[in-house]
Amino acid sequence: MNTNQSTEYERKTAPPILRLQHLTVAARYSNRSEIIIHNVCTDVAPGEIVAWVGESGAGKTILSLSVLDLLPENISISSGAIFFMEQRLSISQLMTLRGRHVAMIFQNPMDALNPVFRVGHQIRDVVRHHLHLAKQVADAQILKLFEEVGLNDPLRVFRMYPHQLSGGMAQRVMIAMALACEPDIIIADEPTTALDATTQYHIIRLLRRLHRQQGFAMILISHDIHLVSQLATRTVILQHGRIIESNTTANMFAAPEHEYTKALITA
Amino acid sequence: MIAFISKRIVISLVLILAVMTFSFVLMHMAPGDPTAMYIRPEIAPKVVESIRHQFGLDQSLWQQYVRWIKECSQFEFGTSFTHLRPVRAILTEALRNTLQLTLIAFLFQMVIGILLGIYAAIKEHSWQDQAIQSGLLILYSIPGFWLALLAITLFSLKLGWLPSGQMQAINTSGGWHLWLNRIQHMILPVIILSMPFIAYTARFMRESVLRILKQDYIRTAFSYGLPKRRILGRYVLKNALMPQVTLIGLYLPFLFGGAVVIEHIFAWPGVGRITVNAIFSHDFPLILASNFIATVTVVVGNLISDMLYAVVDPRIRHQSHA
Amino acid sequence: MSILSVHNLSKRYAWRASGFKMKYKWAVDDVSFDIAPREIVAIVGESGSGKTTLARCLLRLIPADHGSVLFENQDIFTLDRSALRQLRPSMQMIFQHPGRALNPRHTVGQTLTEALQVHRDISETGCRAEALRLLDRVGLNASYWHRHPSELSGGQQQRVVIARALSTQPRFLIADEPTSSLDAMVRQKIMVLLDELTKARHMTLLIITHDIRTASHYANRIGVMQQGKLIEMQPTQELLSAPQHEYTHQLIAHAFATPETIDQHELALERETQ
Repeated sequence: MNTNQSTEYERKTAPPILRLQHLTVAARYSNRSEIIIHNVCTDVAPGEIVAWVGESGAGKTILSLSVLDLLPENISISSGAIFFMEQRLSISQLMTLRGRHVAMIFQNPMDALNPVFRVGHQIRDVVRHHLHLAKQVADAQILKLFEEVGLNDPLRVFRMYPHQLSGGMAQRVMIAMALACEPDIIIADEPTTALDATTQYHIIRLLRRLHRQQGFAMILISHDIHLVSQLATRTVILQHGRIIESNTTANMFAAPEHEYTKALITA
Repeated sequence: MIAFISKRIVISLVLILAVMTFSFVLMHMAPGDPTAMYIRPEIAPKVVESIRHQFGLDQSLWQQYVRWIKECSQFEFGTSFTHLRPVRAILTEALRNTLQLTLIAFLFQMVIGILLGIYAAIKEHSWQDQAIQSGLLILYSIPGFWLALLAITLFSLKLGWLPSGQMQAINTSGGWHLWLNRIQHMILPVIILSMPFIAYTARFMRESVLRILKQDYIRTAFSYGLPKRRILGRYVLKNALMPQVTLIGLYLPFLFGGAVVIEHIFAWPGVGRITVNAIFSHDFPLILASNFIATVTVVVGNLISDMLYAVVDPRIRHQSHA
Repeated sequence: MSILSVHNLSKRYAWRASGFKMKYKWAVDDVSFDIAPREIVAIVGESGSGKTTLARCLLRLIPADHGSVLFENQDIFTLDRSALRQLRPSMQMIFQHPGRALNPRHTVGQTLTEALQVHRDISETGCRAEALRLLDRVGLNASYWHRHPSELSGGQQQRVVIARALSTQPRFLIADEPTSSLDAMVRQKIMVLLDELTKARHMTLLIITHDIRTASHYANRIGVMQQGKLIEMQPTQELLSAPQHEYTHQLIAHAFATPETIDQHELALERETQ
């Protein structure tokens, strides 16, 4: 409760890290085009965990991909603006956020890691590209991160290939990769959905701890309202590409306004 | 890993023996007598008889078989009926020539095929992609011998740029002249031989690259801001080359087969040409020996593929303790 | 009196460890339990616990190595082919990925009428009427009749799969992770549908799932599997309030964790290390 209030206080004082203003995203098909995100306005304050909640097709993943200009070829931002640190970014500038300022964690950690490279080397690639560190320095940093995300025997994990990791370990590696360049925002797209219940719990616990220690902001994308209640300080509900409700998680769970939100919470 | 390889080697040896036995039986079932060409009025039947004895043809089939297997295991294949020289000497020389042709053709098709495939994949659906695709279709629908004859007519007879056959000009002196001359002689056969394989490799490569571009880990690489060149040149390439490795071994026998025709047209003194001539003259030891070489090529090719795949793909390499 | 009775069921998997050596693992290890008619039972376990293998053995989709399964007092492992075929319609299974369980080239109508024609002796017009009735029963109207699986959402696909399972009028239904590929909202609707149908049609339902929270909403009894063993099986309320095993206890604690309990756990761990 306490943490929620303090972040709510910060929210009002500190400027948001990320702000989406009247964002509209459209998909083109061979014979028609369709708007899939309608005029969305929302922001992410420093140090908060915002959950973007909705069913598949509600547009929550598309919204996150548009922040990094990672949209599929037939989908593009048709109007609106994205501000990062108060600065309006053009679509080509969005690319510069990737990995360095905004890092992603995915649903299937096993598939998200390249099967033919050692996981340590994959992270090293990212670190060296963004921070221009010497190999040894980068490696030492990664090993320290591995320890932080609760991987026993970091040196061994560093030299492993993805298929040698369990789902939980792979997600920890992914989290280490996300943290590697000390980003301002981490986007976690269904970070626990593909994992077993016990592993889910441990990953949630890990994310809570890292968030408390390092104070990054996080966007949690999920359809799982239970996960949201365990992690998010603020919740934004999306339906058919529109934001229908937004509130602190505690308030929303206590008094949902929208019918759809009520149904979600009781599900 | 060692267990995997040793097991594959045992299976390969059994396979080679089986194929050799089969071809031996087939050979002796075929009508025609290798000594037929000696039967002429002026040669006494006794002489023919002694020739038969000399070649060991008067022994029972079983004796001949055992002797032959024993010889093969020591890479001795007896004496050629027609050349009257040890088969081993004939084939060593021919094999060297064939390998020169096929290996260079193989490398050539790999490089060109892979590059074309990647380019087509990156430019998917563009006019460049379409052009490459239709070009490849033409490449593997044209029969090699026809293309070879066409090329000889055009480049050798009409334009006179390249020699029409043989490995080198008769009067070439040594040194770099010889090499230059040899390369000139190789250009046409190598290109013609590799044509269909370029098409296979390129098409296969295009599909692999397209499939891999859709994988989650490529999306990860992009979302972490790695530059596109690096992603294509490192992350995509290594994954896309992996299935290509399996094809390496499978291509070898086909290259060998293709070489039979191409060698004949370009008068290239390789195994292919020698085998064809041996078949016409019922030269049993030579036919069986080149058959042996072909079998070994196929089996070893497969073995190489499997082992290479295990080496490059960590998922297979670590299977035993995964 | 039980509809399904499982005795000492075991199933092992073999794989080649290296070269010629074979290794074995008991995927299902000496499992025994009974299910009474009209009961809803859930088997909960994490991936690799053997719960899916167990489900497949129960229907003899794969052979078991030891033990017996009595379905309405018939040992299904000793039945011959024709007897087994006769029994099949009364035991149906619903899978995790409805999209993979449906033929992509068949429309919803074709899928249902085909199932009806194979298993039940009814006329063509009766078939269509019955198929429409089934479709309606799972909450899809006639407009879905001509659609292909690719034109349906995951939830709608699962409804079609359920309708097809119902077409043989089964008495026993196994649902293997019926909702884990679906969204939370759709998940709940499918579970409610399964629950309703089971009650209305006097069926018996066995839910195989990794999600103890969902299981606890619908099941009368819950069994917990760990490394091939059924470590305990109890009425739902008793299992939640007084789990016998440490593993079950943790499973429950993790599944029902709140931010407060998570942080308490974290603090406790920190104190331990200090």
